[in-house]
Amino acid sequence: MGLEVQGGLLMADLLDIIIVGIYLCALLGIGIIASKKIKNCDDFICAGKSLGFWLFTVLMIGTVCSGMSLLGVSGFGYLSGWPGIWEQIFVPLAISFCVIFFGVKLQHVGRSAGYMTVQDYFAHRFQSPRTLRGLSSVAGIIVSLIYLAGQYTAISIVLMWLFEIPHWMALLIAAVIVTAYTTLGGLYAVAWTSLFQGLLLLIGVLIMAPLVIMSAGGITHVNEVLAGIDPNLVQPAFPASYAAYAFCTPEFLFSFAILLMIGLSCAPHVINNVLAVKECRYFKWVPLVSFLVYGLVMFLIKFSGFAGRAMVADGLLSLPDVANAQDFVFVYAVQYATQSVYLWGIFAVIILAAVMSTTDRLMLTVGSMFGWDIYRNVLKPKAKDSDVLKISRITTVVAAVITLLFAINPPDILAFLIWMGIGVMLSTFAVPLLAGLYWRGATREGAIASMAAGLVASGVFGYYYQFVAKLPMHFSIYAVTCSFVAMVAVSLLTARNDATVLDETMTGWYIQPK
Amino acid sequence: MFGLPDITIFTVSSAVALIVVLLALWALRYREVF
Repeated sequence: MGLEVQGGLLMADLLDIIIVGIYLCALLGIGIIASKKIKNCDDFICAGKSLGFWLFTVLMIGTVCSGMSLLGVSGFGYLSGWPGIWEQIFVPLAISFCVIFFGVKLQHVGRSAGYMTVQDYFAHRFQSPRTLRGLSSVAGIIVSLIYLAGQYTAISIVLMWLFEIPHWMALLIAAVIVTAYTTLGGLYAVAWTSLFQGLLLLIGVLIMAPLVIMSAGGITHVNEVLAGIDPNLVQPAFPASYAAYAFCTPEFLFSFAILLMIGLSCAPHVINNVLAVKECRYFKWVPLVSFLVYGLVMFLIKFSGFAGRAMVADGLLSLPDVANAQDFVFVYAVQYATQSVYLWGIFAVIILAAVMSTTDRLMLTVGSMFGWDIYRNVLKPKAKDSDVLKISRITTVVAAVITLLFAINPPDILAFLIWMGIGVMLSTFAVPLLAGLYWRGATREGAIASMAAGLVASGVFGYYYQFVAKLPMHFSIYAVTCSFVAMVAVSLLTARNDATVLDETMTGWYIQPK
Repeated sequence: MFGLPDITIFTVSSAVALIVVLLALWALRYREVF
């Protein structure tokens, strides 16, 4: 650990180990209790479609609130100042967007048609039980695995920082715990642990963030320091891209809004949650409640990033001399603000809670996409339910092992792929989903072309943006445009799907039918 | 206010307020039975 509190260090280390140990045991305990409820695939993948209002709301927040929500959000605040505040509006809006524009219809149709994953919807709506289901599952699994590797990296940063243990050991501890409870308890365990971890996160941030802001001299002083560094750091957007940190120009923020709001909402690990809700009446207040709760947490974390920048400028804090040092600002600012080593264990638990709640959902999504969509619906349609459950569990473990190997020995391209993650989700899934739900003219061929075009274009534009030249907007906006053009052009040239199927899947220009 | 230019306060707070109003409207107009 970074601070020189020699006397209490040994005791603090022991206390930190106990705190984190209790937390990890609690997760495991929840997994064991949840495992008693798993009787079939529906229980494992959709928690028996029994999630209540708060379980669903917190599951959505926990799924969206990834490892980078604490480290990356404050780091982004440190780097970009107020022009980056829009991230804290767009990300919580992803949940509202998902519930309103996808959830209402999908949950209703899914309940009568027996959907387990969003791929069931694709197969039904586009009358493509194998091709589109297979393509979207493979794309979903690849993107989820990449995203998962990023989550494991964030977990290892926290455990390495707290316990000064080797990278591989930190990863292994986290992976064993999260894999155990996810494999045992499926979505029941993921939802229950999310509730537990969401409460920890909320309470922790409500205590830690104000402490950090007060230690930096209060919000007014923080803003004055930011304005002294660069007057544009307190503006709502940068007027032009005049420096590496000044990329949040108005046009970039527009693409950022689309990326975060729609890209996150159509990610398989997020959208699948709407199929597990017990009653559709919960969709009434979830958009507002999740926006307010998650928005409050995110704003406080962003303000902590601003405060960290002011503390560094005032000479109160210095960041480590490593790449992306800004991502450590929340950790270092809390260390400075609390001074007490005894609080660090609790703080580590808060960060782990944010990371774990996304990691478990991603692993379950990979397991269910392979077990249910590929094994049960493409490879072996007559497979028994118990076999599908077994395969889903095995795939969840395999997903953990693969990503762990990537995270322990990260190839050079991994950082690039993680950075691409949400952009690929937007480019691949947004157009087929939105067109499928709201445009009766969208055809199977259009959906396949749109998905393939989005996937390829995101690779091309992502590479160009990162390695050739910066574009005025986020690369995904160009890729999603290609996906949109492919959907419209190919759909207009091919025959429409059956009207019966379009009626069954509630396809049309409405959210709720009159 | 809070050491920020008026444009920042106005833009950010009105965006948040607009979203809250829209989401509240969604809730009030949502029909519980299809």
